Amino acid sequence: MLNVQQQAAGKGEVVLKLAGEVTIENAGQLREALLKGLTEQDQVQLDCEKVTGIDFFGIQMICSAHRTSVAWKKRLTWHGKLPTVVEDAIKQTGFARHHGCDLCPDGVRCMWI
Amino acid sequence: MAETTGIDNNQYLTFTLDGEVFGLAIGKVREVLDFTTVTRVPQTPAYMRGVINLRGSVVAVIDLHQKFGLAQTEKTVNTCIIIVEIEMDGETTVLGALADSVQEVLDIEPDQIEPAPKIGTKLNTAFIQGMGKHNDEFIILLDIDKVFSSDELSQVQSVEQQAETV
Amino acid sequence: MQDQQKEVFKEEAGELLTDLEQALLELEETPEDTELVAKVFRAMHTIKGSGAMFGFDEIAEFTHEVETVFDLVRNGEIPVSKELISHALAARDHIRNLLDAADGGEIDVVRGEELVAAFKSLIPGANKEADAAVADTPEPGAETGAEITYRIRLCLAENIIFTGTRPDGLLRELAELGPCRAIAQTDGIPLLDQLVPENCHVYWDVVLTTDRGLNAIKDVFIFVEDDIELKIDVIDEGDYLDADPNYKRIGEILLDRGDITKEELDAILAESKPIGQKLIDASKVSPGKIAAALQEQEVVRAARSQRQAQDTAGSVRVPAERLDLLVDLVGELVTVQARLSQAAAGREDSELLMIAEEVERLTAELRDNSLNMRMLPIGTTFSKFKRLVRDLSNELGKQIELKTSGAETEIDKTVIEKLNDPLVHLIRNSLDHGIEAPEVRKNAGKPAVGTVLLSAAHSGDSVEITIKDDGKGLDREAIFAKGLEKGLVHADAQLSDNEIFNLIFAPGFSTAKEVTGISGRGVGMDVVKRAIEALRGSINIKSKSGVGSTITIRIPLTLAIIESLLVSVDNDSYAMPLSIVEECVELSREDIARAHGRHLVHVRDQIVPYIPLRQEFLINDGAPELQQVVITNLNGNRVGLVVDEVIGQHQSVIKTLGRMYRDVKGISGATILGDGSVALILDVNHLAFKAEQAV
Repeated sequence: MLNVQQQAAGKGEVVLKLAGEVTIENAGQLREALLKGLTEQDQVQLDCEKVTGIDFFGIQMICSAHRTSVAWKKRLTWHGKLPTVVEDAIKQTGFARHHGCDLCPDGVRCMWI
Repeated sequence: MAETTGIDNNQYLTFTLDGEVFGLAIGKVREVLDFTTVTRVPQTPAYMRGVINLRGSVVAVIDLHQKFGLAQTEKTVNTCIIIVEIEMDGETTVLGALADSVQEVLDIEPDQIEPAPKIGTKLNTAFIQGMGKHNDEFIILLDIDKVFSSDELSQVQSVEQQAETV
Repeated sequence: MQDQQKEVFKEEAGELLTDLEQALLELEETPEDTELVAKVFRAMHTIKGSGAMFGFDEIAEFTHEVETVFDLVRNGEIPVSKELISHALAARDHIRNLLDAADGGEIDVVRGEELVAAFKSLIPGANKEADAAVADTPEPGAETGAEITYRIRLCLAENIIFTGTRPDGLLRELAELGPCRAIAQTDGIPLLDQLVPENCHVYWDVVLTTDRGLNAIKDVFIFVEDDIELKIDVIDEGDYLDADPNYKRIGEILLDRGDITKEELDAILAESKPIGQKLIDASKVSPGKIAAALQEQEVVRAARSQRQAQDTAGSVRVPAERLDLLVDLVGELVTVQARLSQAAAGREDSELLMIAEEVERLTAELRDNSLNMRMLPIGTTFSKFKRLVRDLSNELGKQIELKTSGAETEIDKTVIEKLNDPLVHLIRNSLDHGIEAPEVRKNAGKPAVGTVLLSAAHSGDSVEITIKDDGKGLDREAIFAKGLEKGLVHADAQLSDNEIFNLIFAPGFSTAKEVTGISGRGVGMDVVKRAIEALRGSINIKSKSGVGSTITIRIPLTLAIIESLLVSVDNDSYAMPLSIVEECVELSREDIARAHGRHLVHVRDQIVPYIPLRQEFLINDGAPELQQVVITNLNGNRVGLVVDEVIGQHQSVIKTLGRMYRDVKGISGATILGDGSVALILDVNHLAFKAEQAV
């Protein structure tokens, strides 16, 4: 079960509050929200504080969203702290980076570090 | 083919050979064709007339006249080839049999069938299933499987051996 | 749906069992081959896993026991011995029986327990429970090997989720084996608007350090073997893990990916000295060696990927009936196309003629291709025989080795199936009556181990299969005597050795009635011969007393359609394989007279014997003034066939004449011509053979 809440946060910004499980079952739902956010706004922040679990497909989804944000010259960042379960999943599925992925423009801190 | 029970077993396709009327269990009959070109296969007994093309399959045709010791079938406008399915050595084989003419399908109940007579016909009685009575006439019911039992094979061989000595 | 899955499992399990048997037999000959042991283990493991998944519990349980033992073999705790192989082969048979019994037969529980006990007796006194556990969970105490670091590149199929496997799960299992760092390569992930959420667009480079061995790593992926690409390299030095693997390995990764060329990598390496220096220092080799190593890696990779491409070049499982149906349809198409060509030739329409020619060309290609689909290498049949020879030689107390050659020779699928029984009997005969007991052989100055050589090769448009043994050969006198007894020869007949030996194929020579899977001694060779002839082939035996015997079987390559030459004799059409036809010459009455009653004709400088078909077919009159002699070449011998007319080429779809004509010699089948009439196909081999005899 995934709950996605949108919260406006200033001009051209939106915070997507995720609660519950971000997995293959509801990846589609997340995709819709991310697409909408990146299309309509300039900056999307992902708040995962209430996320209880995330699997490979969820992370892949976010990664795709990140790449999309760079391509569309928007910004996608985390909002607030990432719960341990999400951090672990990112590490375990191999998405964590030391030096940042090659997509991020210089000067911008990559979300994947 | 397994023995058919029920109504099938009592129906017989009748045909004539040299004036005599014979019957074949309908369950064994696939179809009836008009006489067509038969390609002779060399070095085979005379009663093996040859082969025909039946919608892409090559089917052997037997001249029942000659099998029963009569003169070769004279081709007339009525001559037909009855395509039958017989059991030979545990396998089902499709064959054609030449008949002078094909008549109707008759219903002959088992109680109307009498056993084959020991004498009185020119045929090998092993071929006869029984004598069927219909309208005061007797129809010789053939056991078509027995007509083509496996002593055919030795027949073919001996002909070949004959030919070799020629 | 359930049943379909079970069917697929049974089919695949059947194949696995065949592979398993082959691997076991090979393993017996090369007991040190760890790859074979791994292969055996993998086969067991897969059968166990799939069996459990599809509800074949008895199979899963039994296989588990055997797999456990083989895991120990794999780790070097149990040596590969003849006993082990014998038990393993018996176990394989038992699994086969369980598979068949799954349809509703009896399960031999006792046999299963027997075998398990036999296996357990091979385990060197260790605690059986602990041993069973080793295969499943990592035991810190069990030292199975040194700590090795591996670099694993893992590519999953896009729809991997449909196999029921989650990528996270795989990575987690890997992590359980030891310290593991995975790097997800994300460049393949599409943008959000094009992303299919359920697809896996990521591949991984994983660096894993574990002492569980390569097998444990491969085991993680056993169930998805078909849907992934896995590349595992060993990085021996442990210190590589401490340094930043990501940073250091980019170059090689990039090279592997083909993202950069070697030149570019070299350039980069040259530029960023620290990396290059680190590399060189750490591995303590010169730059030249690194270049060479990179070169080697490329070469091996190229060779491997080529092999892989050949193996998994996208093959499709097709039920055999569908192939047969296809070939039938092609046959009918060929027949109709002949009619089209004939009809077109009869009209003055050049466009129609062109179209007919085009159709003919395409039909020929279609024919060749579809017939080709049914060709399989005979090798699988050969390996079955290895098992047969092994078991039989043990039974007979003889030492016999089966050697094979030409396993890659391709033959039509149905021919292979129909050849199976005859070959089994010929081999059994060789083993039984041909090869002598070890002492007898030693006394005769032969090596104690007898050899049976089974070989297959293409020869012209036929396949030649030979069974050669170095046994005691055939007893000319005994066979002659038996032939006399059975009335097959005359007492004062002058027969060559060849003719006498081939008497064993004559009907009536032996008393056995049928070729069955469990036949006894003195098998009906005539039945074998008939089976071969049913395939329009021929069989011949040569032998030398004390030295051995060679049986040669020739079978035409295609059963269904041949390119033939149509001729006519007395208004009847006949066909013969075009491949054996060399030329046609005229034969006039004078030519015949000139030969003084011998059937010989001059062809340029050679004298060629001929067979007058009219005479053959007992048509004694009406020969035309000018006849034609079709000169054919059979295995180097030229023989002419005299006909009235040569009609032309024909693609003949071979139809059998049926049981009634089974024993007719000289005619091997029939074909239907464009006008619907039937032409008989000549068995030139037989006609020539007969002619030889007569002379």
